[in-house]
Amino acid sequence: MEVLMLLVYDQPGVMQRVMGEFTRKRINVETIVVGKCEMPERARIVLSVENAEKAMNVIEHLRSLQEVIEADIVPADRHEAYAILLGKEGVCRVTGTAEEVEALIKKTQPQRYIEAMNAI
Amino acid sequence: MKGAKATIKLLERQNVDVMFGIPGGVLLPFYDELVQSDIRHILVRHEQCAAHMADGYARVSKRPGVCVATSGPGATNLVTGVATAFMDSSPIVALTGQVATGVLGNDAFQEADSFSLMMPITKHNFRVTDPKDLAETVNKAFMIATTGRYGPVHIDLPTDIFTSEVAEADLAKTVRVPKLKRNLSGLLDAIKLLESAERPTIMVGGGVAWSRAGGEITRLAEILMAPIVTTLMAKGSVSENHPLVLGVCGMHGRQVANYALNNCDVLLAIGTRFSDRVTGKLSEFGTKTKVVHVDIDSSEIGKNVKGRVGLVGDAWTVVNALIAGLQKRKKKETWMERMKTLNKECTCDYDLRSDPLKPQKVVHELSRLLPDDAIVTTEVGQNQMWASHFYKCHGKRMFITSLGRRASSSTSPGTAASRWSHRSSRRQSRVTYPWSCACSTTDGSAWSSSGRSTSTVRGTWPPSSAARPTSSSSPRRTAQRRSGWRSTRRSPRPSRGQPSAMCPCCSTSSSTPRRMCSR
Repeated sequence: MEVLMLLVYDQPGVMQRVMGEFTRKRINVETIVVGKCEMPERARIVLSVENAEKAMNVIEHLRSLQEVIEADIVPADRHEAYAILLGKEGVCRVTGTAEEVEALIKKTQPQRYIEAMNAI
Repeated sequence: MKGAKATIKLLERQNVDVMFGIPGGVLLPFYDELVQSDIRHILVRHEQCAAHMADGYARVSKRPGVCVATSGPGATNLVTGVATAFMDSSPIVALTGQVATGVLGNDAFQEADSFSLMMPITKHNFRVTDPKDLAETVNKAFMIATTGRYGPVHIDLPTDIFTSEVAEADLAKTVRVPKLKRNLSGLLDAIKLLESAERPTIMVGGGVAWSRAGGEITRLAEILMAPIVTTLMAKGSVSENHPLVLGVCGMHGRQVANYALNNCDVLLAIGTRFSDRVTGKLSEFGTKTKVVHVDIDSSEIGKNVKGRVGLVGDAWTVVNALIAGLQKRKKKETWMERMKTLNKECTCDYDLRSDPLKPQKVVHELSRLLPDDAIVTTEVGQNQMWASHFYKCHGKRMFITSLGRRASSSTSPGTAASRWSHRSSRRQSRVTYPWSCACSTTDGSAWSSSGRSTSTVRGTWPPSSAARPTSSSSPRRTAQRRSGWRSTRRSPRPSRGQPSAMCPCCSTSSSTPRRMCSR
């Protein structure tokens, strides 16, 4: 799993433009996290893709977008996975490395869950 | 000041002297103000034509062309022309009207999501939803279109922006021009590679035409003793009179240019995106060649041809840096002499005296007779290939062609716009040399752009210089012939007597060639 982090202008149409680059390159985005950040009128987008080749394929195209201020591939030691699990006992929130979270999901077999990659 | 007047003022500040378009319901406030302005408006018959004309204007004048269309159908008609400019990195600013912000997204009359439509075919696009942002947006659009790799920028303008008040303070907003991205960390590697090359070749792309680095590249070629091959986009960017310039390479290119491309040991590619028309099968292209790729757009380095030395910067700067590093290089003339010999041998002679007149002969005569500052435009088709082979671009001659998108019907509007831009630049710089324009087009394209002739005539100059070698033939047919396909339909005028010989260089059959290409 490769994680890309983008600093963008927080305005309508930015996600469409960013995702358009992935569509053109036929790359499936595994997870997406978007949120406000420490700077006003800016937002961070954290995307995960299947492998390094796909990430390298798209990164320069993302950098050339006018609304993207920074775009980088995040080193593996800064990856963070989180998940919300719904089981018989109720809702459970899990954070940790991608391997830890996936191991827990496999072990507990929740009825429903959602997992995403994040980084800082 | 109303938004409509403010928009016109902003365009005037950007030195826009001519714009191409069609009015429409939502644009009426804008057009009411345009009448009062010094900006000349060329009324076209189809929005696609307006975009092609803005594109042609930009290519000749090297300044952004402006086109305008109304909401909904106007915007959708504009798409082909804008996409053509995008593929060929031409700086245009496309304005479209839009329904009022209050009804946006409600499927109002003549509403289309032109913001989303234009997104993948523009360098950047905007939708102004607040009059405060109008000035900044227009200024940014011109800045983005003409910095870094040129490209079209689209601004979607809802009609209520034209009628709302714009404060003088907001109108004075300017934009910061960002520093050009440059990465020359591979320069030493590139110099080493080129120094040690035994059979270097320089491949020149459209980027060189935009950065006007033709003279510097010829100098570099003389230092390296390297032949120059061009892509179709770069035809005219280096003088085709020079003995080292082998002409257009690629699928429909000259045999000698492809020989140089396929047999070099180091390829210096400048301002080209390695289009599939040049490389053919990507996995087989340049497997034994070391490639130095120079491009202003970092995303182009390694996009199609991977694992190469990449230099990010504009062609003029990088080529000058390479000249500085390579000046003391020991010249090896063997490869260059071989290329010069092959170049002489690979010369088709189409000074044919046949009845009916062959299109090749028309292009040949055009090449012979047109003045040194002529502008020739072509769009897609066999005509484009004839023009690329038999029209020699030297001196101040310009060759304008729709390449990436290969839109048919782009020629006639392109020619018209070329004249407009030439006229305006002549007015500004007071150049008085004679000039003429010609377009080469197929019968299909001539019909699809026939409505444009009206714009041409309305522009108070006669379209008498347009030469139209018509043909039912096309590069598609050439490709089919190459793959062994035979048409069951007889050609309109089959050749009599001896079976027609086909030139392997330009794939054009003729029964009476005086001399065929020997390679």
